[in-house]
Amino acid sequence: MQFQKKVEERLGETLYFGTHESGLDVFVLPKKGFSKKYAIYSVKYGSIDTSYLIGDQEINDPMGIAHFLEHKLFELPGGGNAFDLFSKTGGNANAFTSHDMTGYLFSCSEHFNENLDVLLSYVNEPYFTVENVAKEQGIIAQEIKMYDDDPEWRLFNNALEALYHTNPVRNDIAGTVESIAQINQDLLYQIYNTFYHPENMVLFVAGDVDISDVANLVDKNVKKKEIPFSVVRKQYAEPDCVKQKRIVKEMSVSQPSFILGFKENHVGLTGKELLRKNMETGLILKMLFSQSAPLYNKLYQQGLINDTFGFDCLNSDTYFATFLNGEAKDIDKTVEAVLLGIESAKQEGFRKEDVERYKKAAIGRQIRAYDSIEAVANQFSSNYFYGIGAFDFLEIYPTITEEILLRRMQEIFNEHYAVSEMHPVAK
Amino acid sequence: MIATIPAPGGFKRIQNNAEIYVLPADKFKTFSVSFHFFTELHENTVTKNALFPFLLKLGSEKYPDMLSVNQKLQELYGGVFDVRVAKRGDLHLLSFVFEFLRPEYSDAEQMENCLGFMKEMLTNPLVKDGGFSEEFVNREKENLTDYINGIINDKREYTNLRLVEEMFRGDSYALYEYGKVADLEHISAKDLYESYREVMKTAPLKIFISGNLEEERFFDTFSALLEEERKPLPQNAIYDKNLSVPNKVEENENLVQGKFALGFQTGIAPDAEDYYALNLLNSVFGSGPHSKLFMNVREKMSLCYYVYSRLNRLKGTMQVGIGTDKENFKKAYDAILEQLELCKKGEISDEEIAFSKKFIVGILKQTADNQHNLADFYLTGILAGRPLSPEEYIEKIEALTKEDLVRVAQDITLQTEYYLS
Repeated sequence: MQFQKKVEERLGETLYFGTHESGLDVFVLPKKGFSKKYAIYSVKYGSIDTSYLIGDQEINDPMGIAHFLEHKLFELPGGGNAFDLFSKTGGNANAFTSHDMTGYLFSCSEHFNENLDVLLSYVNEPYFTVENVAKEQGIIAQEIKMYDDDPEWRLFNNALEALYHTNPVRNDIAGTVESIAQINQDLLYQIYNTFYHPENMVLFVAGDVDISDVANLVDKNVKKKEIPFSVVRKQYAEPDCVKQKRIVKEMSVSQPSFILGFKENHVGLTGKELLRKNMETGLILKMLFSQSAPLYNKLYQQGLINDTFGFDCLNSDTYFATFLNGEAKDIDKTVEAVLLGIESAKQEGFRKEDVERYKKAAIGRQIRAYDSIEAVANQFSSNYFYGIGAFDFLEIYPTITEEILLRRMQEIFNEHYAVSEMHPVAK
Repeated sequence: MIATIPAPGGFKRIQNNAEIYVLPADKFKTFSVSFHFFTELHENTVTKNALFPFLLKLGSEKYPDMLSVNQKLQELYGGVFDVRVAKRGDLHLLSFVFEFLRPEYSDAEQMENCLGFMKEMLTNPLVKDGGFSEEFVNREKENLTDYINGIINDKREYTNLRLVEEMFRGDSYALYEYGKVADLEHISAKDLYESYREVMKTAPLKIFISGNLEEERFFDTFSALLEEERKPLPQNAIYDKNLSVPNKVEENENLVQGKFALGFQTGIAPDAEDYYALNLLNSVFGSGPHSKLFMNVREKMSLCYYVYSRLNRLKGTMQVGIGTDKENFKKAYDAILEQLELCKKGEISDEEIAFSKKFIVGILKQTADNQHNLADFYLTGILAGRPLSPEEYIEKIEALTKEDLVRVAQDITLQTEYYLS
């Protein structure tokens, strides 16, 4: 396969990319001087992909199956697992499942080619049996129970359940103990063959590696499929309003905490348009709720929020939600003050000089991220599936103005919001 | 007295018990400076010393509130200023960590501006009537209270902390690094300023500089701090073999999944040659997906999602953590101790040793790819009395044999059990 080269002077980075004959896109970011080499092989298939069409047939899979498959792919034909192979080649392997993708990765300092060979071969060779599926049901049940005891995770999932009626982003990534009990080896093979298609995957390699070795190993392990990738994901009719305005739970925690979540109904963007939306959202959240923001400082001084206060954003082409979260002694009072603060920010708008300062800091942080190979690689992989390029952010920052941010702020903070609360168990 | 001598990874300059380690590296987009002050971990000072460092983040004379500090960091291209407090053996470590983009990625004045900012935040705090700002102090007391009370929210970490408390009952190491809520009401803004001055003027100080900072400019900028007459690091403050009486503690928080932790004494001092064998044995036993605990307790027996062992080098202990259903506590406990017994009996395969060596060597080789990890690695080595470079450490690991592992396994004894359900 042939690689093209893109040099980004401002970042001092070069990116190689090419498309393999199988349809797999391959990216290599050389990092001279680093011992660490890193590869992540990802598939656009996550916890939300439980309902889809193949031809005319609608398929509905149990919740948590993408995560289950991630665990099970480590099994090797004839017994043993991929960790054993990585142990031999000195690779430190891992994998993760998110709402919209699954990533298989390793880092190593020596024997990069052998490690990459292991990664590409085990992901391309599924091996599921009655026994190994049963064994995993026990392990994953423990993982689910671990998250059941994690108040932050519960609070976040409750917020998604409150915001969404039908979009499967409201379901726990790992599913439930009951849903994973429905999974069997036939179902795993079926979804593997459906989604683990080179045209629906990407390989990203970073480190001081030889690009022709990468190409050879892809040739060796990744085969062109006879049928092109042809899954149609189910479109969910998601009402504009939230499902529940408020969701209140109790756990053994030190004090009450909350998530105030906003849901946007204008979704469907991809590529640079989606990236722009993400970046504008990030800037606005920092301008209102970071330690360098007047509103944050005011709320902090009034004792309405503490150091745990933060924000987050969950975005894709089918959902876009923004979250403000933290501990609060009186959640109603804090939420009211936050909403009032947002309303006055909408009236006042942003000052040009502030916007420029936030942009300067944001670009600085992005450049700094290139010191961490895995952070760059993981971010790149999730962006790739939405058609976003590694260096696209550099051309978007200069076009963001205070007027654009004001408009975007009106979209984010709309009337479709919900509050998820976690209170200490009454003793 | 100033002496500059070669040191692993670069060189060090020693000046009145302040040591500056310079670790040159060209590959990063940033440069980083971390200041580490060491104080004795003691119940009378732990809360004050945990509190005052965070006041420095809230403002200085020149940047008198959190807003102006953070806006200045933005102007420095999104610079980072972090405060950390930690326990290292029986020392209380107060760290101030800075990281900034290099001039090549920002502007020609960046180095000078960043040095000025670091000096301002560290040495020119906002002081009123001989104390820190009351407003800052009250706010930080509330934050610290919320933080300490919030330990319970992370059940996994809470289990580990409770084990340490039980294991070291009566020893200063049982203290939590963030101190005690009950102390806060008796601490005044003046007390905190006194603690700050005491630490800045007398506490042993180690500084790590990496990623192409011009060190001469650094020495000039911080000449006053470097000229103070500092105390040497307290001797024998790290390793203490005498733990509390073996103990078993069970508590209930109505968890969905039970968690427990086991504390072991290893009998191996941090500077012992056998420490490297213990490090390798720990990986065979419970660190990494090739380990006996992962392969058996998780993969074969399906009892858990996570199980691991880790070492506390400076205290000579090993800790095992696991999350599993409470009805399986006994089964999991037996399985963990059985795997340790196999290590003691020498039932360790060549493959297990080879995998564990690769696992540790891989991590060591990548240490220098992160400026903070590298500084941390050296700091632990220095405190342990064995300041090796990653390369020297690798040689020690590679040279080990099965006999070394079996030898160090013999003295590992279970000391405390903590169960949360």
